Amino acid sequence: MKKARKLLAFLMLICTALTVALSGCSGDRADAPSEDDISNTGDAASLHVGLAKDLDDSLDPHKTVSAGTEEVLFNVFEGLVKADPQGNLIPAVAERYSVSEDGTQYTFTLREGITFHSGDPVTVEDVIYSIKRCAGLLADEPEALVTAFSVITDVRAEDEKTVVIEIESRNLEFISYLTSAIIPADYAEQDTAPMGTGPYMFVSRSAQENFKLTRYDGYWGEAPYIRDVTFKIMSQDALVTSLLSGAIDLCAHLTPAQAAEVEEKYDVITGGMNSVLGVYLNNAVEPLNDPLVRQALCHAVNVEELMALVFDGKGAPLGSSMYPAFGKYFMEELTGRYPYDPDKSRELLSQAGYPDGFSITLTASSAATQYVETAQVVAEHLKAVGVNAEIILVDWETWVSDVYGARNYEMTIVDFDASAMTARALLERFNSGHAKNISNFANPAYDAAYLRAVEAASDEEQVAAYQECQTILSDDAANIYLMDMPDMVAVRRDLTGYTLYPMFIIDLAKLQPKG
Amino acid sequence: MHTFMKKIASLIMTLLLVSFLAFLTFQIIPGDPVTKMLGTEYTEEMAEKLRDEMGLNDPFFTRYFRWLGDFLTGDFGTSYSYRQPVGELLADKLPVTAMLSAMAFLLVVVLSIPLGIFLASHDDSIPDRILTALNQISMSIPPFFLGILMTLILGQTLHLFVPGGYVSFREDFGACLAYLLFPAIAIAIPKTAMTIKLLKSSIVSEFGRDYMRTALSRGNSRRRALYTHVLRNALIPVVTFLALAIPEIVAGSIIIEQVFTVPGLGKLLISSISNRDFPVVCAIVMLIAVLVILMNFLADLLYRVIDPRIRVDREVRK
Repeated sequence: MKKARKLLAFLMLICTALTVALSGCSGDRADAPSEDDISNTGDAASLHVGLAKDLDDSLDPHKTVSAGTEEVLFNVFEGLVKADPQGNLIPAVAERYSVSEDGTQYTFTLREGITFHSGDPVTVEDVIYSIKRCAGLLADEPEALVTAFSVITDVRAEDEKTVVIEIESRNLEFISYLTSAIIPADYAEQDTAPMGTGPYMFVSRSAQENFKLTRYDGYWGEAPYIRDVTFKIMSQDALVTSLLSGAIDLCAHLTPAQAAEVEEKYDVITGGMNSVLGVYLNNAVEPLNDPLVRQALCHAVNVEELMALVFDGKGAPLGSSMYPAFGKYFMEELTGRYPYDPDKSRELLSQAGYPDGFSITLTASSAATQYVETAQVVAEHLKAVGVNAEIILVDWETWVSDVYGARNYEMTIVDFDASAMTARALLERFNSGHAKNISNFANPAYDAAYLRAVEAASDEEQVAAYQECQTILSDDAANIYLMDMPDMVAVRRDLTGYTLYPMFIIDLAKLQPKG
Repeated sequence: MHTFMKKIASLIMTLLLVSFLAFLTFQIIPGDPVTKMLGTEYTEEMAEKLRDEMGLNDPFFTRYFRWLGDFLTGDFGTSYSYRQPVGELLADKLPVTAMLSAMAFLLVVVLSIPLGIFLASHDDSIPDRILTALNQISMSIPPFFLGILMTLILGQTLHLFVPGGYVSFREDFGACLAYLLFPAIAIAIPKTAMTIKLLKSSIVSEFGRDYMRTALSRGNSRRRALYTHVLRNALIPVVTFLALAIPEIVAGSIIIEQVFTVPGLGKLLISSISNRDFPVVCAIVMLIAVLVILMNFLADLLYRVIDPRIRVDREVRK
């Protein structure tokens, strides 16, 4: 009896305590996020950035493979040169450089006083180590980590401040790959605790939770305004609620629909995703091996409607494997090569011997909603001309191994970005012998034009040859090129200076307070 | 003692079976951990070399026993994705899921027992009918749906918490608990409802027993009889139920972590499966298996402790 009463009293006590705690904590919260106070940080110089993709990758700048990790590490690492927002290369670790008359010798002078985040000065040994590591010239890294570096024949120090890199023959694009990070020669933890020369230095990473950076006060360039940055990992669906509640201050890669939900409270910046979204066709399988069939499919897809349905009417249509941010290389005229025309499409299909259409599979990775939604719209368009496309959804790893690796597919939806600011990065894969020629595209004229572009002696020659490559891809209807997807960034209202790049980069060093 | 040994033996067998199945699953599903590490631009030679280095080319049983041996000596391997020791990763995430589960369990206990007793002692009254109806509804709502509703109503509309605004317990323990309270409630509500129903029906049926008549005829009030005699008997099935509910709560927290973006074991498990981060998946699966089996074992023991009749039976039979 007594015991029971004690038990009951105890339970009541817990209940009361819990009630108090509950009401107490809702009291605490009341002052945190409110309509007019979006900055939850208190300290204006700290920032929370939302990321829908975890940095579940090696953090070593030479070994990281995911674009999501690279765009964040841009703040931590620099190469001899680095990209500016216009896509031009500006000196970084090197103060200046010169190229020899015949284009095979690059001479770099190191920046005075530049240091790694450890405080140690960057030496010519570090630079040579970094370049050799990427080129596969080190004993313990025999694989070229950057394929474009395989043309390097020699890397040597001229004096304490000067490094000379020699390459096989003239290569106008080689300099673009020297954005590869310069890392300390005697540091073994790049995998989990990256260290470079960038404006921000690594603090910590917690799986599925966050990634923290802090301003490096010994940075050679202009000191960033934001001191502490926490990238918060969350699901795609949580981005908008987190922005609205103030849990994050900045978020890139929002869809137009998501951006519309937050534009009342945030500055929204619109740009392109800087990638080539397309329906990639396996040119080696029936009936896609017939150019007439591929052209018919190009005519069947209504890109404008796709844009309206999936991307809120935003984005840029593409006609070949190149996007507008590439400026001089991009050929606007190719976007009209295959206008939406179902009748023409049916006619071409009849000519090719498929008057009643055919059935085919369309594989898409469920990793991105854009892929899935694009696949649905495209399948509807194809159905209208009698092509019955069965959508197969796979997860990303399955896509990489089965579709991209083994090319065991008929049609697939994906977007390709450029790993370096070179046209080569977008066109290389369609060489007939290329290991990652996803389309199994084979055209000797293309291979020849590509080779001319790579070996071109002048810029005009190179642009012309790359444009020829694009034209061939378009004429042969290698793939159904769709669009450059819109990419929206929401930035806290009191900040300015967020800059879009023609590549996949989140640059935090340029953020400044307004006014 | 004999039965105890038998239990331990079956416990070990179950764990071995789980480890084997977890290992086997990764051989069957498509996707290659190596391609994840090398990204999209790998060459077949690079992949083959890495596979060799990682020992992925060895025969299945060689790999299984090597992994099992390492596992038993406390070496859980290195995460393919994070390049970090798995033990380190789990140590970072385990406290979060443990806290969430513990809070959910505590909520179930402190809410269900008083409410169950109240409903039983006011059987068929108006508050009982209302609460029973409510109970029936909350029992049938899955926690993840409740979680979404809570995010919308409590988070976005009433601003009681910031959805997605999880704060690490290392930074601010109080804020972390305050955030975890909401997912804990989402997990606890259906379980609480079930416990209330069980306790109520258990008490009501105990009220109908012969000893109750005796207790009342000796001049005890119903209330007094409830606390002295009935509750002790009525709690037996409830305690067993609660012990078995713990693994279910842990499983529930794995799902609810996705809804509330709580970076615990569940989020790590799901991302590791899609990344084919096999060492992490196996370690988490084993951890959960151990937990489930231990809790079953504990429930069994508790049953014997609370209800002496079970023990007596056994001894008599011997």
